[in-house]
Amino acid sequence: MITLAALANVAWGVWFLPLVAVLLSFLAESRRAAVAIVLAGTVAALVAAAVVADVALVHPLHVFQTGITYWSYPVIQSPFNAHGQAFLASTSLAVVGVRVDPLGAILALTVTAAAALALARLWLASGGAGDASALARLVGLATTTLLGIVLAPNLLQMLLGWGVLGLCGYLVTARGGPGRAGTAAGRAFLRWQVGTVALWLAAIFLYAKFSGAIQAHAVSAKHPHAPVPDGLNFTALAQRWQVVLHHGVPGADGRTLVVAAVLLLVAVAAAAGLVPGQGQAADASEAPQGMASFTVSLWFGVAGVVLVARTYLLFELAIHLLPALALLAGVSALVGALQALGGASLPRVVAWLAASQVATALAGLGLGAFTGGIALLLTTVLAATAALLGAADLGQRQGSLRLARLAGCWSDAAGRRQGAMAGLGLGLVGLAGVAGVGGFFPRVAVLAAAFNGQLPAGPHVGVLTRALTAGLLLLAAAVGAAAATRVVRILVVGDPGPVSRSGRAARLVVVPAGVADVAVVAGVATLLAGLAALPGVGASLGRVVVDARGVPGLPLDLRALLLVLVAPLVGVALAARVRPDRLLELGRGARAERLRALGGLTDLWDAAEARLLGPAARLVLATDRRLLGPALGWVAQGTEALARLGDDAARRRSTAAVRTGALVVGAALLVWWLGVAHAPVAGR
Amino acid sequence: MVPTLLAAASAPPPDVTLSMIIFAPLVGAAVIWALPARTDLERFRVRVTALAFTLIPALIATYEFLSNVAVPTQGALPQPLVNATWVGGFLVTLGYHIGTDGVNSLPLTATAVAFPVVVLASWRQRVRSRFYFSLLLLIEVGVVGDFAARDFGLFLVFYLWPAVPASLLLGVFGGEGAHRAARRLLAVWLLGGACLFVGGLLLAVRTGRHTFSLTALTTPLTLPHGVGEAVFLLLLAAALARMALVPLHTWFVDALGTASPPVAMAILLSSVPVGGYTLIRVAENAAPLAAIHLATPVLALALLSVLWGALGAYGEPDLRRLAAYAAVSLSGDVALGAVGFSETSLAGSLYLCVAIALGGGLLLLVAGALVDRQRVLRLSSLQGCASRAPRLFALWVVGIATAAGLPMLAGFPGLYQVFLGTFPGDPLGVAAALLGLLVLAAALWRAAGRTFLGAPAEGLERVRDAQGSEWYAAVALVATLVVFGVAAGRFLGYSVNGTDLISGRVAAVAPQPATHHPSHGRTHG
Repeated sequence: MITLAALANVAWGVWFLPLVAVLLSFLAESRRAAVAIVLAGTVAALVAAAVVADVALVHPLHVFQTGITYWSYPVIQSPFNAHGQAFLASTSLAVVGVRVDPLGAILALTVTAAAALALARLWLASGGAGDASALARLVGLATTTLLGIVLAPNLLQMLLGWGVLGLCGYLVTARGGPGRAGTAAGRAFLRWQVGTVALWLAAIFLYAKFSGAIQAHAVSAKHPHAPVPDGLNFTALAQRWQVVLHHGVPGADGRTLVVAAVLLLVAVAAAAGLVPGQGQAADASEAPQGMASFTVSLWFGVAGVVLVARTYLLFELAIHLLPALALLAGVSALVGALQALGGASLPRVVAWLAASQVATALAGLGLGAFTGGIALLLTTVLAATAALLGAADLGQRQGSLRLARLAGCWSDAAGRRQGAMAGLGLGLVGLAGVAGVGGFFPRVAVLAAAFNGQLPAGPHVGVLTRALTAGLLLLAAAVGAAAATRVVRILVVGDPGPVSRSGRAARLVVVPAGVADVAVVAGVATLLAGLAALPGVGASLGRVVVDARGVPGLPLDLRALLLVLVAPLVGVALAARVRPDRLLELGRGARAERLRALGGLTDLWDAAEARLLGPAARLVLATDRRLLGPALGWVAQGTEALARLGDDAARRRSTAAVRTGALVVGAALLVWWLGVAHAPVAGR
Repeated sequence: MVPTLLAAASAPPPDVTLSMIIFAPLVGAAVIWALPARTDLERFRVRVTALAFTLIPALIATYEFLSNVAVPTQGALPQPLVNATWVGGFLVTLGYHIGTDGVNSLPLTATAVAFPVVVLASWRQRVRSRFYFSLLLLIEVGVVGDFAARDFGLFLVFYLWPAVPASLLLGVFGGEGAHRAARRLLAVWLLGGACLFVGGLLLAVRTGRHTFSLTALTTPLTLPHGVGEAVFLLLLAAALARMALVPLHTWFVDALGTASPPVAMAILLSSVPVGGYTLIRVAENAAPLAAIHLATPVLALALLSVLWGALGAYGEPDLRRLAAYAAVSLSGDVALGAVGFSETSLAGSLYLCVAIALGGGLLLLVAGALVDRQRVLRLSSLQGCASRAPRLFALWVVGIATAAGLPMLAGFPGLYQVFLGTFPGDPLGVAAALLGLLVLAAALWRAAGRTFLGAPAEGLERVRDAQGSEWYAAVALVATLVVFGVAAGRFLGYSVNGTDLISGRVAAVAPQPATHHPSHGRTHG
C-alpha cells in the first residue's frame, strides 16, 4: 500500500519527469538521442501516472493536495487594498502543487499516454533528421505544462500553465512549415491569448471577491474545521462560493458568481474552440505530421474541459451559466461536424471531428453529465491521437495529406501499411462514436442527461435548453459520422484522378518500420477506453469520477442509447449514398467555402484589426510623427536656445537679456518667498 | 579623551559595500581613460576592464541582495546604510545618505547585473572604445546611485548624471537620426531634473526642515492645499520624463530606434526603472495626499500609455521602435500599479520595471542584431529568417513572452502583482490594462510571424545567427529573466516589506471609507 507521502512524491514525479527529460536531452549527442531521452522521461511519467491513478481510483473519495509556497507575505489593512473592509486578505499567498483525485489522476494518465505516443512516433519516424529534437523538447515542455494544469490545486497554477501551454502550442504548430502553418499558429495563439486574458481577469476577480478576510471569516464560521488554503485553491473557493450564495457575504453575491463564471467561460471557449473561438483544433492540425496528434488531441481540449471541471461548482451556482455552456457547446459541436464534412485535408477533418467531440463533452458538463463529459474527453483524446498518427503515416508515405491526392490510396497503403490504416480507421470510428466504440457510451450519458434533466446539484437546466442541446448534439453526431464515412470512402473507393496507381506507387516514400504500430496502439486504446467508459458500470472510469464528487452515476437511458446508435448510422447511410467524386466536391462548393470562412473570434479580430486596430495604430504613429515628436523637438530646441543664450551671455558678461531675465527671476523668487514660503504649514 | 578614542576605535567601520557598488564603475571609467587603445590587444584590455568593473558591483549587489532577501522583514530597514553630511550650512543640508531596502534593492541589483550584459553585448565595439566604454560605465554610476540614494540632493545628482553620457553615446554611436534623438533625450532628462529640483526645493522649504533627507522629507505631515499638489506634479513630471509615458514618450522611441543595441539597452535601463522608482519612492512618498487627489489623471495617463504603446507596436514596421513601443505600453502598467497604492501593486510595479529593462533589452538586442546585419528596418524584408537565425528567433520569443506576461519569466510576477493590487480599487482600469496587454501580445506575435516565420524573403544571406559575445549576452539576459520569474516568491516578501511603508504612508493620509454597500461591494469614502 503506497503511503500518502510517497503518493505526493510520485505525483510530483508525474509532473516534472518530462521537464527533467527535456533538460537532460540537451546533453544528448545526437538529435535522435535527444528525442529518446524526452520519450523516456514521458514514459516514466506515464508509469508514475498509472501508479497515482491506481491509488486514486482505489480511494475515489480522497482528495490529496500538497504544495510549495511560491510566495507569502502579510497584507496591510489599507483602503487601497480594497474599497472598504470587504476584500482585505490578510496574507497574499501563492502556492504551486499537485492535487491528486480521480479526475486529475485519470487526466494525467491520458495526457502522458498521448504525449508518449506522439513522441514515440517522432522517435521512430525522424531518424534523427530535421528539427525532431526541438519538437520533442517542445512536446516535453507542453506535457509538463498540461500536467501542471490537470494536477493544479488552484487557479493561479492553472493560469501559470495556460500561458506556457499557448506558447508551446504556437511554437509546435508554427514548425509545420512556412506560410500556412505560421498563419494558423498565429490565429490559434491569438484565440488562446484572448482566453488567457479572460483567465487573468477571472483569477484576479475571484481573488479579490472571494479570498478576503471577511469571506474567510464567514467560511470558517460555517465550516469551523475546513482547511484554509491559499485564496485561489479550488477547495477553498468552492466553500466560499457556497457560503456567498447561501449565507451572504458583504461585497459578493449571486451576480459576482455569474461574472466570475462568464470570465471563465470566455477562457474555456477560447481554449477549447467553442463558438466564437472555433477553429482552434483545425489550426492546431497544421503542426508537423505526427505532432498534430499531440496538439489537436491535447493542447486545446483538455485545458478547456479541466477548467470547467475544476470550477464546476461555480458554474452550477451561477444562474444560467450551465445552460449557456450547454447551448454554446451544442452549437460548437454542430459547427465542428459541418466543418469536418467539408474538410479538404485529412488532419483538418480529424481535427474538426475532435473539436466537435470536445464540444459535446463540454455540453455534457453543461447538462450535468459530468461523468459522460469527462469520459468523452478521454476517448476523444485517444481517438484523435490514433487517427492523426495514422494520417501522419499515410501522409508521409503518400507525400500529401489532401484528400484529393489520397483518393483511392487505401489499397496501395493497406498493402504495406495495414497498421497506419488500422489506426486511422479506429480513430475515425472512435470519433464518429459508432456503437460500442470510442465516445459512444459517454455520448449516451450526455444525451441521457439532456432527457432526464438531472444535475448533480444546483438549478436544473430548462426543458427548452435541454431539447435544443440534445437536437444539436444528435445532428452533430449524424454529420460527424457522415464526415468520417466520407473520408473512408474517399480513401477506399475514391478516384485517384490523373495520377495512375502505378505512378503513385512509384512515388511512395519508405517510412521506417514500427511507426504505424504507434497508431495501432492508440487505436486499440481508443477501443478499450470506449468500452471502459460505459456509465453505470462500477469499475468504469466515469463512475469513479462521479463517485468522487459524492453523486450517483447517471442511469443508462434506453431512449438515449437508441438515438445515439441511430444518429451516426443515418449519417453513415447518407454519406454512403453519395458518389465518391461528389464526396470530394463537398469541400469545394461555395457553401463549404463560406462555412470554412466562418472564423468566429478570428473574424472578429480581423474586423477589429481592419476597422479599429489598424486605423488606431496608424493614428498613433501619425500623431507621434507629426505632433508629439515635433512638439518634443521644439522643447529640445528651446532648451538648446536657452543654453545658447546662457552661453552667449556668459561670453559677453552682460547683456540686456541677462539683466532682464535676472530681474524677472529675482522678482518671481521674492514673490514666492514672501507669499508661499511663509504660509503656515498644516500639521507641523 | 581616552574613552572617546576607545569608543571611536570600537565603532564599526562604515559600510562601504554600497559605495563600492555605486562607484566601482566610476573607477573603471577612470582606468579605461588611462589605458591605451591603439591596437586590438589594447582595445581588448579596455573591454575586459569595462567588464571587470561592471562585474564587481554586480557580484557585490547580488550577494547583498541574496543576504537581505533571506530575512524579508529587513525590507523595511535600509541595509547597509551610510549617512554623512555632504554639504552643510547652505540653504538646505545635503547628505551622502545611501542604503538599500525592499523598495530599491531589486531594481538596484537588477541594473547592476544587467550592465555586464550591456558590456558583453558591446564586445564588437572597436571604434573609440575608450570613449564608448567609459561613458557606459558612467551611466551605470548614475543609475545605481539613483536607486541607492536616500537623500534628495544625492538623488537629483544621480538622476541627472547619466543624461550627458547617454546622449553622447546615442549621438556618436547611433544610426540615422541619432543626433536629433540625443538632443531630445538630453532636453527631456534635463527638464525632468529641473522639475525634480524645483519640487524638492519647494518640499524642503515648505516643510521648514531645510534638509534634503528623504527620510525627513517624508515624515508624515500634510502640506497646504495646492503646495502638495504642486510638489507632486513636479516630481511626477520628473518621473514621467524618464518612464516615457505618453505624451513624453517620443524621445524614448526615437532613442531606442536609432541607438546601437547595447546603447539602447543602457538607455532603457536608465529610463523606465529610474522613472518608476522616482514615482513610487519620491513622488508618492513626498506628497501622499496629493498623490491620492491626482490619482485619476495619473491613472488616465497610465492607461493611455498602455493602449498607445500597444497600438504603436501594432502599427510599427521597424523592429527596434516596435520594442520601444512595447516598453511604453508596459511602462503604463508600472504607473497603473503605482496609483494602485497597495503594497502589492507597488511591489509589482518595481518588479515590472526590472522585467521591462531586461526583457526590453533582450528584444532590442535581437532587433539590433537583425537590423544591423541585414541593413533593413522593415519587418517584411526579414520574413522567414527563423530558418537562418533560430537562436535569434528563440531569444525574440523569450523577449515577447516576458512582455506578454507569460509565466516563469520576470514579466509575470510583476504584472500579476500590479493587477492584483490595483483591482480592488480600479477594476475597470485593470480590465483596460489587460485589453492593452492583449493588443500588445498580438502586436508582438504578429511581428514574430512576419519577421521570423513564413516563406523566406529574398536577400536573407546576410542574416547570421547570434554568436559569440552577442549570444552569451543574450543567454545571460534570458537566465536573469528566468531567475526573476521563477524565484519571484523569494524576492517578493522582501520587496513588499519595503513597499508596505509607502502604502502605509499613503493610507495614513487617505480619507477613510465611510460606508459600505454590500449589494455591489463598493464603498464610498
